[in-house]
Amino acid sequence: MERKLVVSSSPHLKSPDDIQSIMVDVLVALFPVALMAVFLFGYRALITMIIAMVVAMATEAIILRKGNFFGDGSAAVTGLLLAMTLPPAPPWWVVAIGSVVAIAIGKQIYGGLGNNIFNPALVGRAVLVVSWGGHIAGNVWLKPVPFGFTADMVTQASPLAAYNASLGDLFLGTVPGSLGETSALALIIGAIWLFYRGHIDWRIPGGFIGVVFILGLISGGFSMGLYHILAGGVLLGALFMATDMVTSPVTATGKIIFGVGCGVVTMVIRLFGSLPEGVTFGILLMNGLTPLIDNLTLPKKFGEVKKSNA
Amino acid sequence: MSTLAQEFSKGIFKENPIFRLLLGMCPTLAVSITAINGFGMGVAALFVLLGSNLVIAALRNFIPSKVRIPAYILIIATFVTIVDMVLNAFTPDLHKALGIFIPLIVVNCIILGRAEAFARKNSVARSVIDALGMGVGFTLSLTILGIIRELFGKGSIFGVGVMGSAFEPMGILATAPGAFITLGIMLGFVNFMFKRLGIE
Amino acid sequence: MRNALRMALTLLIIGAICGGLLSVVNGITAPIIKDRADQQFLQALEGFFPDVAKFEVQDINGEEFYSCYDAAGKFMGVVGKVKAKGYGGDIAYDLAVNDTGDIIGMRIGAHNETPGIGDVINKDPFLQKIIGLKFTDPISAGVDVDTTSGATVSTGGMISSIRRVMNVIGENFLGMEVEKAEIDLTKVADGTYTGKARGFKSDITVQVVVSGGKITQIEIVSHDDTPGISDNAIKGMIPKIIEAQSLEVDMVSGATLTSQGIVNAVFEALK
Repeated sequence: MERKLVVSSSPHLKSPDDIQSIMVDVLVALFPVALMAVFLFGYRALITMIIAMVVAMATEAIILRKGNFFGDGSAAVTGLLLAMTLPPAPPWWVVAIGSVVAIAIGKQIYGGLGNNIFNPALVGRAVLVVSWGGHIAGNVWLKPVPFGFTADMVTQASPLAAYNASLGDLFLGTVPGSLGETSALALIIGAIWLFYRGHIDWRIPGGFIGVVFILGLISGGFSMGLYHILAGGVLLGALFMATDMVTSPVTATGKIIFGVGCGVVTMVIRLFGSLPEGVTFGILLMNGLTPLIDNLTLPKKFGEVKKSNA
Repeated sequence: MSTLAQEFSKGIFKENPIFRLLLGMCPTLAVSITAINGFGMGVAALFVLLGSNLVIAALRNFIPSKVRIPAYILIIATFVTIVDMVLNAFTPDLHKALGIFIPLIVVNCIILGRAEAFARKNSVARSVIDALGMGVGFTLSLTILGIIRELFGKGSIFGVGVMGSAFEPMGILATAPGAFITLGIMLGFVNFMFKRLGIE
Repeated sequence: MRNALRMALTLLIIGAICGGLLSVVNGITAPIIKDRADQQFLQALEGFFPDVAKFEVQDINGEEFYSCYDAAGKFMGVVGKVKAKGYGGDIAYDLAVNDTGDIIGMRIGAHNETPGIGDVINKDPFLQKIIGLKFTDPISAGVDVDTTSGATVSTGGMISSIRRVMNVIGENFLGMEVEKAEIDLTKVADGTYTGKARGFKSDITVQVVVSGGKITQIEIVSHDDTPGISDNAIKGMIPKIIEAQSLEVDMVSGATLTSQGIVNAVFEALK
């Protein structure tokens, strides 16, 4: 038979999306961000991203005992997202361990893609931050040199610790920071692609960024609100991590609750915690609450009658 | 009726308090940071378990069943306090490392659990063997967890550095999340091995 | 009835036996424990003063200070068990100062600073900077002791706390004059004063108007601290100082260094 006949009961809706096509879309969306990282931090950024992706894909291939290295592409996305959360040039073994942890403990231990409770890339990052804080969040932020592919770079305090960058620099990304978090511009371009393809919903990033802005505003005025959105990992987290389909709620109300929760935890950690950045733990915490949120916000079935106590 | 040898070995394998019964999780997670802490906690619990099982089995016909729980708690608390004072006097470093978890042996499920489930129905000899098996199983499990966490979290085993100076310890294993992760992986591994070996 | 009596008696007997046993064990172990605790404490002091033979404890504002004496009863110095404000909360530490007011040792105890970042306070380069400082040194962040980059809050908190502890020790144990950061407004003539002090990353210049023995107006003449953040400090600190008519006011959180700079500048203006 040349053509496949699909015989099934209604509804006869078929989406052209499959896991691989979604993952390729995410990789495409991350491309401007990755390009910006290499533009700012040079070959170091490239090496970090390659190590993270290759180790992530290798770990997945070994655990699944599959010959197909790229697989469904989700390991590559996880690896790249992990690299985006890291400083430009951590030691190679830190990156590699992060990738192994992200895939093995963050994802496969739960039964693979679709069953993981927490965003795998953030699990990898969280383990690295707690284990080797000095390499991940210490005095490791390089001052970017645009076009300086092999330029020597010096370290500088990150904008979230020093609160000294201008909003314009934060928007373009010419500030020290993690690979994928510095350039708001590149992140927004990537996110527009994902919106266009319908893979992400405005509610999660909207709730997340909105709350960060409001709390920033309360803590120090309008410019502080913008500062908190642009500095650090809020945009990266809100657009690419919190929106992960597997680990965020499916209901519309649930998505808003989820986004708002991420924003609140992030800002509480930033303003009162002992770490400068709180996006990772904000999203991870809300990941844990996702099943509960879904449960509470399930829409009423059509025709369902509220149970009476009579 | 099972033989004494079976009575002893069940505490180590089939009914291992940590990996099979999941009892006594609180000290397990809290003190398995280093091998020596895990071992010390295990031995302290072993001693308390031995004493309480022995006394409770001996008095099993004497204690009215309606007040047995307060009686058990009195007996267990006495042994725990003795352990606490002796450790404080003779091994101050271990006492400091175990801290609040020594007094908390009183509420360790394994101890009251064995008193209630075993010692009050069995002879003194069997109860002592049961306590030994359970205690050794607890000690072994805690020591294994301690070795893993100390090796990767601090780069040493029983306080002896083994990883060389270039090794940068994986700090998370020395913290509470590391305890959960290590225990979870060990549980999976032990259950997998038991299935393989056909032990149920 | 007989049953209840039997239960009570059983528990009573068990309790009595347990109590007796415990008192015997306690009788054996208690002296050993107490000996060891004393020994350990003396050993800890010996780490700072090798010849210490006895010590006296004094409580000042909730912190304990130990005066150390040698076998001949000669005063050797003071060890303070004190606290600093860090990034993640209080940092407990011991500071040892000898009889001439030099810091001879520091030991960091319990703290909650970020591992790998703020815990540089417990590492050699930072400890070396502190040990050897004298009472007469300014002991001020950015003046004679540098903060560690990436850990400004932790190290800055330590440095200002050390200055405070030095003042307490100097005043109470060494009989030194402490320059107070408090202004006696009744002694300041009416007029306009200008003062300058270091803020977060720039010098802050203020103009203070005093009339009728009161601070009536404070104006920031120039500064170059981070916009957005320092604004909070300026908006927050000036009304606080004017309302309190004192420099003993809480800092604006998130902009501590600028806040402190403003206080210092006002102090410079009026002293």
